[in-house]
Amino acid sequence: MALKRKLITLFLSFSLIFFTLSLGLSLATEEAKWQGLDEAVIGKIASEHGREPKESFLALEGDLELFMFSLLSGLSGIVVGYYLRKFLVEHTHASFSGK
Amino acid sequence: MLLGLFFMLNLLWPDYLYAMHISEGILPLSQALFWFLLSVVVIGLAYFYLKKSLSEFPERKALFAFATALVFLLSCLPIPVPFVGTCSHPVGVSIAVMLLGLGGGIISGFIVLLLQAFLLSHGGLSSLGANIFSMAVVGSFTAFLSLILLKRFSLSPFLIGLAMGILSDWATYLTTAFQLALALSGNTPLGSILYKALLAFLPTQIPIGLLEGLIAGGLATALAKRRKDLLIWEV
Repeated sequence: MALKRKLITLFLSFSLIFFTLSLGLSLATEEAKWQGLDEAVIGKIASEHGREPKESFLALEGDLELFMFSLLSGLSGIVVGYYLRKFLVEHTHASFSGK
Repeated sequence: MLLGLFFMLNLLWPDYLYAMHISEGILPLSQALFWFLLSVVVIGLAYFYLKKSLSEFPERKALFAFATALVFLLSCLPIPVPFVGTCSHPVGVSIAVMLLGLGGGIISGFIVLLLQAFLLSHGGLSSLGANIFSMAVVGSFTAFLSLILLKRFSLSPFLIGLAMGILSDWATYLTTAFQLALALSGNTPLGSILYKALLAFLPTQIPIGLLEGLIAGGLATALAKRRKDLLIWEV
């Protein structure tokens, strides 16, 4: 049972890594593909009707964008993981030990 | 750990992290103000409702932090849709509604959009009110209404979560399409722009909505098995 679980985890890990890397490579090589809906739909329709989207007043330049995304996503990931463990794992252990 | 790795690898290409938000410069000033004021009123009401609820159940403050962080993560994650060739992200507010009710969903969505606009320059400042209205307000309302209706049929937590996730996602994009059509309808009739925007949204947003429903339904099932008390409809 433990071996089966490990194999499934391993398979899922490799699939996710493969999927993400393939996605990254396709993004890096094909400029127009995988656009977000704000650009592919909202921006396009707005431009067709004479309202060109403008850059945000608070646009992040260079690696600052990467820094902010990594920092905020990392922090929120930690918060999600911490509370998920608290709600599901620690609470269950406390219930079993009668606390 | 797997999820962390997945998010990290996705974040290595921040140039492509686009959202569903209406960008700066698309909405006329009068409409930007209208959506902003409407959102402020709803957020004010939601804040008092949430404050009351959290003072009655202080242990739910941790749930609020969890739900807001999860909504932030989900709404920052652009998911590629094969064959269509575009990316979109889940809305996530249905999960906050599932844990905290309507007020919690609206305030979580509001905080997330505020962070995205000010710290990640996602969506414009002038369109912040419209984006808050479509995602935080309409998304949460739809999830909450679905919950009220489906609760009567004693469905499984998975089906309730699934419907909440799918409908809140689709309602958000329907509202965005309407806001866009309203902003651009000058010489062209509103209906034709709305139709065009909806047709363009559909191929990407149908699978993303289904995925969001599966995430919400999966979380509802996991909580129903181990922590039933955390689900709002069990309180």
